[in-house]
Amino acid sequence: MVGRKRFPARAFPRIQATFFAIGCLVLAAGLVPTLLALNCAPPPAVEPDDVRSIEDFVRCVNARLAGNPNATSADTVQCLPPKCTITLTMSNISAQPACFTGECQMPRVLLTCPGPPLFMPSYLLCPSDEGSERIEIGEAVDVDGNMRMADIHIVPGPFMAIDETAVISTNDSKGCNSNGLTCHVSHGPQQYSEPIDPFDGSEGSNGNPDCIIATDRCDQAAIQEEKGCFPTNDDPRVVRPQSLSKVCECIREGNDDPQHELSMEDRGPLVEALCDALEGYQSSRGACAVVGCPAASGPECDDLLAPCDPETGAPLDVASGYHCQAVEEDLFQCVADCPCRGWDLLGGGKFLVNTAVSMVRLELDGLVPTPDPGSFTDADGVTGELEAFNYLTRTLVQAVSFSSLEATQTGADFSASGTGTALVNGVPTNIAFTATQTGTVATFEVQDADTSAVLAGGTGEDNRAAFQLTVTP
Amino acid sequence: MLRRSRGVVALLGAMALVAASSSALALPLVRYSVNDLGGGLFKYNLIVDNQGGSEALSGLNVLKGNSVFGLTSGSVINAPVDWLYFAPLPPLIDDLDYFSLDPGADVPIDGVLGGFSFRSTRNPDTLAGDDFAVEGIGGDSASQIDLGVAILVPEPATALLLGSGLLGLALGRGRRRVPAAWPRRRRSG
Repeated sequence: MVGRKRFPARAFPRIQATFFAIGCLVLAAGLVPTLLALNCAPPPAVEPDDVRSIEDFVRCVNARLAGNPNATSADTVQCLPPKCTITLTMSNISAQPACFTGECQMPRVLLTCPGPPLFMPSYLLCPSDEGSERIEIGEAVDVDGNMRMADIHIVPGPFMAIDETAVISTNDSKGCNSNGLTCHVSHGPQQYSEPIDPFDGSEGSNGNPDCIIATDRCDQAAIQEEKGCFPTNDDPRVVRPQSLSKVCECIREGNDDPQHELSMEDRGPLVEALCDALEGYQSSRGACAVVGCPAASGPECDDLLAPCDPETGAPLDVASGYHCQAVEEDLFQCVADCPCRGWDLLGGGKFLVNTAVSMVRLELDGLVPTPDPGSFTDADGVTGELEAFNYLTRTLVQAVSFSSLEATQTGADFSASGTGTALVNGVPTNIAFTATQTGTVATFEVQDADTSAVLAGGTGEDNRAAFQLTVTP
Repeated sequence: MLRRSRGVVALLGAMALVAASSSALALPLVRYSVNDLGGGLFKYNLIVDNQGGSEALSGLNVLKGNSVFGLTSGSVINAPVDWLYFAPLPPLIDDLDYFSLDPGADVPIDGVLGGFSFRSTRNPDTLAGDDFAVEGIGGDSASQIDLGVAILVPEPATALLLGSGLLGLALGRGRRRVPAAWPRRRRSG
């Protein structure tokens, strides 16, 4: 009989304890990395269309720029949510001061994105300031539009992941958008800012409507002529209206010219890339792009004038960029504060000055954020054709691009005026034109914008000339 | 037979007289011919004839370009060298408007200019009234000049066929008459 070696009865608990300890160690060795992984895994990426908060934006940037060896602030533009309006200010009273480089206006670019909540990132195109490497962001926290703030610095070079808690404004040194004592309100560890309003020219505010050189916000207007932007300040400056695309054009030309100040700036290429990215955003995903343009209708809602959810119409306790509005009698809908409307201007025909004939063809269209279909100014994105021939002077006008179109309409009668560039007998020329329709009478005139010389036009011949302006309701 | 021959001569004389008088009283006008391209598509070829005009012509407008001929910016439209055109823009603008870029390309006084053409599904046999109303533009005054309604002229090939047919008809009549006359002469001789 083979004898079996038995453990001494006293030894068993010790061996059991040893095995138990080893088991625990193995278990712990397996669990710790798992727990560590759970704690240290980066937050899930957020798609640009889903960005609604500072944290969403940071997560999108971290995901999209990871591994980028040459990241700049321009690369973060891809994480902007859709439907944001763009306002350009030449104000120099800000943590992101605008500047001039040569003759180029290098503005601060403020975006206003409908939420909820209202979301307002801003960039700086001034190359002489580190601000062009930064993105300031405001995120509404209440119905009044007070905002929590963030300041994100993208140092050009290999991308370093952003800590979404470290970028939140916690003191007065960043993220302040007002000169007033109420600029920041302590809210636990965070500092809240008053609503960002670059158009607010009241005392104690950083805003100044005379510094706004372009905007596609429907509730505001940019300057229409040269203005003194903070003329009493130490840095008085005369600014002129200019669209983002024209700003970018100036930057590109400046960088290409070895004699231009911009080509000597280290950040010249950065601001060019940033401007191009913002221009691309404005045309493809911005408030007036086809895919981004918020409609002038929405889900039904109950609380007139209350902020509302554009998906459901439900009232919100935070500014959203959408309000419950009366779109018809007894019909309330949750509609964007700046709804976009499509417009088209069609017509032309035979126009006379005395008996001399001009022939005209006009086909223009665009999208414009405007609360009033009877009056709008489209300063960006006007497309179409304008052709005119003056038989007396043999002047052929063939428009190649349009800068703006302004129209007012009452019933079928309207007046429209626009600017652009055209080939006039083959020579590039700045043009200004007007087209009106009053009853059955149409008038048209196109001028050389620089000399005011009339190139073609006159009063439409009965039944041979007409214009028609259509704006989506 | 002599009476018949006199009748033909009188008819030809009258035609020559009408032609001569109309030439003497000539006014600017537009003539057109049509090529049947098949499939219900027609090519209209226009010739501006400025016989008797008071000034050169720098413009030609087909007043019902869209409503009668269905022309739009997508239509096939051709212009002579140094001329351009604006297509109709329905529903607001019905005209097809041609214009000359250079005075040297205008239709001179007593001159003729072709090269204006467009394709249309409108069957020329159905044109009526002022469907094909046209106007010109004076090269000096830049004012409109009424050219009335464009006049259909046969295509050269059609005219040749027509002429050959008429000639054949005339010859045929002559041949039928001669054999009939000879025996009578012989009999009488």
